[in-house]
This record gives sequence, C-alpha cells and structure tokens, in this order.
Amino acid sequence: MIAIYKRELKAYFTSMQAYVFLALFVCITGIFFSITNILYGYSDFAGYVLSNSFYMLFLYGIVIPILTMRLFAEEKKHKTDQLLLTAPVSVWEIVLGKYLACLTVFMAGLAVITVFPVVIACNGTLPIANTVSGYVGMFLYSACMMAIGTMISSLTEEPVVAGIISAVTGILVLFFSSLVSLLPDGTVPTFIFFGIIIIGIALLFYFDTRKLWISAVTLLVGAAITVGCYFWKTDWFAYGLTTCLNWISIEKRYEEFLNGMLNLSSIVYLLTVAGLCLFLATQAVERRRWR
Amino acid sequence: MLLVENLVKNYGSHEALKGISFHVEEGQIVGLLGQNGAGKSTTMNIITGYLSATSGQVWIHGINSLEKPKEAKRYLGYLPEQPPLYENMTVREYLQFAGELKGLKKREARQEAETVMGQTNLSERENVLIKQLSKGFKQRVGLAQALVGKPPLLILDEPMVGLDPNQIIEMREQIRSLGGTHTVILSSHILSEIESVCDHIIILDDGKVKAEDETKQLSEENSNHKRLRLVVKGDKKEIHKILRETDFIKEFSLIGEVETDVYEFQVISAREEDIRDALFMQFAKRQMIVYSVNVEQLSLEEVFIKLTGKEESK
Repeated sequence: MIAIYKRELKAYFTSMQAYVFLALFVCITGIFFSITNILYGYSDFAGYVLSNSFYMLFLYGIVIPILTMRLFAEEKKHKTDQLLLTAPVSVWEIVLGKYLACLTVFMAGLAVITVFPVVIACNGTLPIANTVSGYVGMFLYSACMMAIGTMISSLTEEPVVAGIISAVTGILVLFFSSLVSLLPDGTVPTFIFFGIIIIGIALLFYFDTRKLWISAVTLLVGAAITVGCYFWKTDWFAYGLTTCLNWISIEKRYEEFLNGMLNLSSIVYLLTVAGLCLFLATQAVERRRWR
Repeated sequence: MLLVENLVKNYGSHEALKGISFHVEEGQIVGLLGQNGAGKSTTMNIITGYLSATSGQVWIHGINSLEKPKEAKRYLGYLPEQPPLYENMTVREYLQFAGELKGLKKREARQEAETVMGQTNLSERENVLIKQLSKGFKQRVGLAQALVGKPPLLILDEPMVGLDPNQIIEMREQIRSLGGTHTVILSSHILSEIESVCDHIIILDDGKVKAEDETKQLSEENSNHKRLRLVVKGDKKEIHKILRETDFIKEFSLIGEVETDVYEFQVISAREEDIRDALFMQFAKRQMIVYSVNVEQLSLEEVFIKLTGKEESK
C-alpha cells in the first residue's frame, strides 16, 4: 500500500494536477477571504468563507473532482491496472493507497489556507473554536467527497467523465437539503420514496445477478419491512421522507461543524460514509475481475 | 510449477474457456498457441489473478491462486499484451516501484531494478522517461518489470507483437535465456517464434485445449505415414515403372532431380501402416540405390491448421 501511496503522490506532483488543484484552492479561498474578511471586516473565517455557498460550489464542483477524477479511470484507460491487480497486494490496499495520496494533497492545500485565519488572528480577534471545528468539518466533508470521487472514478474508464460525474454529485450533495425541502411530506410520499428505493435495490440485484428470484425476495422483504414500520411507527411516516433525507445529508453535518459544534455522531457518520464509498470502490474494482 | 484444472470462464452467455486443464513443469518454456478469441489472454489473465474464473482451479507453486491470491501472486511476473507502463516515470523509478509493489524493501527494490535493467539491456536508459522510449524499449521495460523480484513463473502475453525484426530477435534471445532459471508461459500469433523459443506447446481452440506436447513431438505425432519423400538414384523411366507397379502406392509425383540421376519423389501410400521398408525393398530388388525415404514432417503451422481447421498468421 505504501508503494502505491508514494507513486500516486508523486504522480500528482509530476503532472499539473496537484499544482492546478493547489492554485485553484488557494486562489478561490484567497478571493473569498479578501472579500469577506478584509473588505467587509468579518473576523469569522469558518462562518463567512468556509460556509459560503459559492465558495463550496467552486470547491466541490470543480476543485475536488480535479483531484479524484483520474485515480482509477486513468489506470483502466492505460491498462496500468493490470500491474496493480496482478501484484501481491489486495484491492483494498490499492484503493486505500490512492485515496490517502489524494487526501494528502488536499491536506497540503488545507495547510496552505491556514495562513488566512492566522492573518486574522494577527490583526484582530479570531473565533478560534469556530475556526478549528470549521477546519475539522471541512476536512471530514472533503474526505467524504473525495471518497465519493474515488468510487466514481472506479466506475468509468474516462477521467473526464469521472470528473464531470463527481462535479455533478458534489453540487447535488451540496444542495441536498435545499432539494429535500422542495419534496412533499406525508405518508404517501414516504411510501412512494421507500417504494422507489426498494424497487431500485431489486433492479440493481437483478442486473447484477440476472436472477429474478433474488429481486423478487428483495421486493417482498422490503415491502414487508416498510409496511411493518408503518404499523409500528405510524406517526413517523408523516414526516419520514424529509426526516430520513435530512438525516443522511452530509452537508447538514458539515453545517454543524461550521457552527462550532464538534458532534461525535457527525464525525462518525462522515467517516462511515467515506469508508462505505471506499468499500464500494473496492467492490467496483473487484467486480471488473468477474465481468 | 503451474497446474490449471478445468478452467471455465463465461462472459455473459459467451463461453470463453470451456474447461481448460494443463500443467507446466519447472524450467519449461511453454507456448500458448491459438487464434484470436481462442482463450489465450483469458487463460493468462486468470492465472495472474487479473480476471476471475467462473469455475476451475489454478495452482501456482502448490498454492491455490483463487483461495490465496496474494500469496500465489508472489511467484509470478506478468507482461500483458500492452505493457502496463506509467509513462511519466523514468525506467528506474518504474522498476523500483514494481519492486516495492511486489513487497521488496526500498533498498532491495533499488538493487533489483539495477539487476533487471542489466538483464534487459536498459541500463543506458535508466533515467529516460518511459514515454520517450521506442516500442521495443517499452516492451523491454515491461519484461524487466515482470522479472523484478525473480518470480519463478513468468507469464508473457504476446511479447513480440508490434516489434520490428531486430527487436523480435532480441526479445526471442532474452526469453530463451530465461528458460532454466524461470518457468515461462508465452502466447504468440507467430508460429515460427513459438517453434523456435518454446520446448512445449499448448494449442487452444475455441476455449479448449486441442493439443499439448513437446514442440517436436507434436509435429511427429500429427504427421501421417501416408506421405513420404523418396530420393532414389537410377533411370527416371525405370523408377516411374517401379512406382507405378507397386500396389501399396496410391499416387506419386516427381519433385525434381536433386543430383545427376538422383530424383526426389513425393509418394502417397495406399496403406495405413508404414511402407518405408517395403518401398526400400522394391528398389533394392532391382539393385537401385535409395538415398532416403522419409515420412513428411508437418510444420507447426500445418499441425495447427490440421488441429484447428483454421489458418494462423505466419
């Protein structure tokens, strides 16, 4: 894994990728810092820069996809994955090595933009707790988005396609809560929502295994659980759809950090989502062996 | 060294491998021969762990590669059809990375890179970026990568494809020099290359093993005793008369006069059994000298066509 990590890290810096990422990251942060902290004189870096919707849109819609787009897609395109997959290393080690290299480059950027709150601290009063929790939140949220990007990169052969899908996903995740607020609430929409999810899972199983009985069992079990839940917690179904979607929103968790809350459950949740995406990336790579 | 048991691979509804079994002894250079789509690359990809098998077993150095893939992979080096090269790395960096990937420590990987560069004549280009190398050198880097860590089993998929004649000769020499210290399995479309490099051949056709034997043995076994080459000294008319009158000869044709009054004929026997003794006696009775009477050997290409019913590129 260390060999893969080192090679990947070196590849970032021997190509333009790391420099483009760092330049964009620092430049965009600098612009927002200049406008909000210097021009308007706000001292809260986390509250006015890191939480700015446009800043986040640039970061997760453009900058982060640049880092993750080629992780696996390029290996597949140039067939260098044959070297990795026939070497005595597990797929999990390959995924982790690549992901950690990507995370390291991001952390380098994060370290560079620390200069901005330091400037504020030297010239005014910096809300340190907010800034620290904002940085922790940004790191965890970005780690999540990079894991999602890694997973997307493992699904395609074209780095550009991986980049575009990662960008769209980044934007959707960012505005997830806003989109959820547009959804109707009530028992029927909740039923429809769970119905779509169950049918989706059943279809996924069908296309994966081509066995109709597995999909049928999934549908039946899913329907039974949904109906069972309805009778068990009828009240919950009235707001089930928005409650459920807001709970899974990683952007909502990030907001907590930006508001100065270091919530353990949010830390665990974000790490779990990142772990799950990396696991799915491993499965996607492994699955190609079975195609 | 390698045991492949009843390997089956399905791509959806298409059966790419239909129960392939063979074994390779230590130190052998084995050629996998077959048309496009015969299953050569799929077999190699399964052995190396790049692809999984639908069913069947692969044992490398006594280790089941499906149960313990990580351990089994330690014993093999693989050069795929398109060498897996990171073009932005120098030759040295790439080979060092390949060493570390195979579990060598940094220092060992550096030494190993040095050794394989010497083995594959890459030392002069150690600091050149791979993307700046010619096709032949890239192929050499791919081979060097497979050699890193001294794996006892080398799998080379079409190692000579796309090389010019000089590069083919070099690559052939390199592969030949690996025999003895490594067990080598290579696939190729070029029958003459397989014939000159390999001492054992496995012919695949339509996902099945069609034939498996030593290269020479394969030609001999597949030759039939019905076609003979006869070289005899004497009067041409007299020889024609004897051949016409001999009841066990179905047909014959004159190939040419090889020396003064020495003629070469192709003779086709009417019998299943070997007629060489009887034919010799026919001429001996008339006190004519038979210089040679041989069963016509089939070339590997002819064997391949005979076994698969298809023509492969020369």
